[in-house]
Amino acid sequence: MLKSRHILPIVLASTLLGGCSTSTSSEKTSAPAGNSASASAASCGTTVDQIATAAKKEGNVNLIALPDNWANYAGILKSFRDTYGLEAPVANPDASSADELTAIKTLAGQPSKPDAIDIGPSFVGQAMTEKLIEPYKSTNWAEIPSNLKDPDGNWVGSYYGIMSIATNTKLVSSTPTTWADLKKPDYEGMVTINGDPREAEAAVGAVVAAALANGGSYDDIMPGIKYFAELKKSGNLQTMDVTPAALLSGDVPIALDWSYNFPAIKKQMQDAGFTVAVTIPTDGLYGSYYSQSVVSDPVHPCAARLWIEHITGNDGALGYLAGGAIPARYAALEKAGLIGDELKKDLPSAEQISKINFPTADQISMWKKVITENWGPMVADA
Amino acid sequence: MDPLMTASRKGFVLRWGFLILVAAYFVVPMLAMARFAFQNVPTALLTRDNVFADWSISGLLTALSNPKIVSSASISFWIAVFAIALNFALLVPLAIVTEVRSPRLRPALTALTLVPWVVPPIALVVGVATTFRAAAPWFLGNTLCLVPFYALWAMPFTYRVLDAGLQAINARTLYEAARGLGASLWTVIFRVLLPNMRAAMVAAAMLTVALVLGEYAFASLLLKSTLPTEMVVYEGRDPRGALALALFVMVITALCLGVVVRLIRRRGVSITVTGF
Amino acid sequence: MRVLSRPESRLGILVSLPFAAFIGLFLIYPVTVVVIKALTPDGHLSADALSRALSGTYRRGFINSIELSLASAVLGGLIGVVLALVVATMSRPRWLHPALESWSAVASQLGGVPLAFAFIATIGTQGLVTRALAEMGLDLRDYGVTVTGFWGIVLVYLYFQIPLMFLVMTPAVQGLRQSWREAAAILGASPLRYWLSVGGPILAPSVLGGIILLFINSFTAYATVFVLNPGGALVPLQIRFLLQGNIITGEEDLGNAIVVWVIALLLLSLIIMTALQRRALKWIHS
Repeated sequence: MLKSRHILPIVLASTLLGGCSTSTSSEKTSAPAGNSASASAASCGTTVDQIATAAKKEGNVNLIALPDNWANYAGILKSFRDTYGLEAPVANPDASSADELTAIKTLAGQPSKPDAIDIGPSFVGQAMTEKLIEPYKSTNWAEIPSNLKDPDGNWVGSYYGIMSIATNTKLVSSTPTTWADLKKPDYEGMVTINGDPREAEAAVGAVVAAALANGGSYDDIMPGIKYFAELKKSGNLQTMDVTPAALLSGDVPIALDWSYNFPAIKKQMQDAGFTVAVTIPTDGLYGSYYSQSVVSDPVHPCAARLWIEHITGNDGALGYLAGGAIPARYAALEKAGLIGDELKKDLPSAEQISKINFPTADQISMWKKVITENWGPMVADA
Repeated sequence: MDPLMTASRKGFVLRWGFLILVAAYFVVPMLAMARFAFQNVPTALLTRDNVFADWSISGLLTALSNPKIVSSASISFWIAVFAIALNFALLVPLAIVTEVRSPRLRPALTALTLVPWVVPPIALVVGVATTFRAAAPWFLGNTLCLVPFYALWAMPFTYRVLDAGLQAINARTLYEAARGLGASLWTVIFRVLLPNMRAAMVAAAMLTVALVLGEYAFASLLLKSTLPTEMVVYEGRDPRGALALALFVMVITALCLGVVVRLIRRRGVSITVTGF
Repeated sequence: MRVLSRPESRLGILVSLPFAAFIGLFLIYPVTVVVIKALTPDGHLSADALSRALSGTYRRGFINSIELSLASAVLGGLIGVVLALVVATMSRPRWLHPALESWSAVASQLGGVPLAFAFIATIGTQGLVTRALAEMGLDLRDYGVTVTGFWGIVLVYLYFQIPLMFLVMTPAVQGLRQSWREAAAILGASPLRYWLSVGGPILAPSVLGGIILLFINSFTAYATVFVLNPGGALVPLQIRFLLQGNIITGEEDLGNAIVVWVIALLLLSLIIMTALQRRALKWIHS
């Protein structure tokens, strides 16, 4: 009699525990859990077709942090899904680089762990130290410029762009064209960076570019932090994030972000009745790439490699171009005559592109340290 | 003149004035959100001329037909169902025993069920994740594993509502009367007490549903796909539609709760959610 | 009379066991893990992490969080009490009380991202109210009310604080008999005198307890402020940052230490609230 009262909780508990060990339909993964340290490039195949076949056997690939409006990932994902028939779900599209590394750690040993990531170069050092990524050299490795790849294959920079200023010209009467401009009192409460530089590369880019404009260099980015401290103090820098919602509502009239993040949202804003001007500041030009890697001990090793092949291959490159980003194999595509003038319209000018100069890994790790130590006290908490 | 009479006229104005101010505070943000969601004109460009231009509910309809939204809605629904079931399984017997046999335990139990709110969600997540990652990694993999967290988070008001319900029906008297008449324990629980607790249980269930539909912290920290987290993702793609959806969810929840409150009032139980 | 037969006496224990097991596994144990980690940074027992958690920017975080929670708790508490009182004295219209109760039940659970956006749409730089006021010549920013600033966030928090206080105070206010009011009036007491000597003291424990509940409720609120001011110096944001967001390795102990202080602070508040509850119970159930 008394026992029957307690059947209910016991039944519930065992349902829960039992239910917890099977995947729900929303996860749709069918590969064995990550014990595939043995999988290497060779076992997946040496040509894209072989890798694709192996990937299809694995059934899926877990991606993360690829927003639709970021360098046209919407288009690139579509072409990947259409070509290979994999569902390729993207978890947490708005995650920052730091969030991606946290996700790998949090989801260790689980079928939803990301298979490939796309993080800012400031976070690659940490990813390597904590063994969160594994090396993979894609089949087109030779065509990728040396400053856009890791010599050991730990990462590849499939696309890059330049830190720019997008201004909602309906709301802002005079468009700022330099970092110095942004200090003007007319822009009070308007200047917005995309995230926190301790977590997101897009914000790091803003800091570095500002440093270059204020007497700093790749070896000294303190002027950049001081610049933003000043902006915060004068009230020009606002605390909201650059998000599509904020851009569309007009709550972010001036956004600092990579040049390839604006073409898609620009169209949406124009639909809503705004006019947008995107300018690359003349006094501080900083261009950078993002690093894509295969996650260590991935759940779907071959599919992860297939994704890297896709984004470095022609389909991916053309996709990035459509989004206003410069693909790594730009020169190879140009030579093959694949780039029409239509595709170049959202890119920065050739002159601006020629000024791009990537930093070294040492400089990047120094930046991380300086930002981590100083951004909080000088800007965020000030 | 009777002091209470003059006071009442001034009081009437004061009272209604206050109520209208408070109502305005609550209604205006909802209106602003609705305007942003359903009218494709940014506030910045709103003028007297285009106030009625470009209204449509297409954003909401698109959002409602989005497969991820629909699937995460069903996931949230099931999480709510299981959390409610878990809480009832744990708390209903406890509430009955406390009310009937040891009313002295009531303040202690009320305080104990409030303790979950004292711990920041992230601490709970970190603590649980650390232990489970080592011992039972599959636990954190499944979305349903939010159920214990939500059950815990809903405990403060679930216990109180159940307790208030029992007090209102004078459970103690009912129990003793039934037992005195020779009913078995089984009969008393299932044929006397539980039927009369229906209203309170439905109230607690509805509050838990409201909680699950709005809870973001746990779900995002555990990287799970529930309706609130999917709405945030959707917002990155279509801000208007996402806000329309949020408004829709809020209205539906309010309506359901309204129905519930009416049901309860008719049965004479007053809800004291966190009653003193 | 079979009132206390053997099955019932074992009942209490058997019924509490699953509950205790659940609380133990999902609440006590994780918290203990966090507390132990906070007390043993780098593997050995030391108060180092705990003291660092109260210094510098984290000290600021605590102060900010306390100020924010106090402001929203006191304001929300006062408005909530007055609302409860006003509604309790109005028997017409008859739909008022049920409508308010159901709205309060929903609104007290509201929060997070939609609420933040509702207020951005209202008092943000492009908000409806901001623009309406601008047309009339008032710039909200001059008054320090921005949606991402202190008072802006307080305003947002009030949205769920006021309903919560209303729900808490309604039973207490109903315990305040109308007959006492009338008796006081007959004896010649002005309304002010009534509140000072009768109504006030009776309601005081409940009001204080309610305010403490609101304080606890708003202290750990996370999603809303994450949208409005993600980098701000507030305790929940700092905890997230240290334990999840940024990956400054080795700072997890600091995060755990902050959590320990939060739990200590809120537990203290909970104890005070429970003590006040006992005092208030006298007046409600009499």
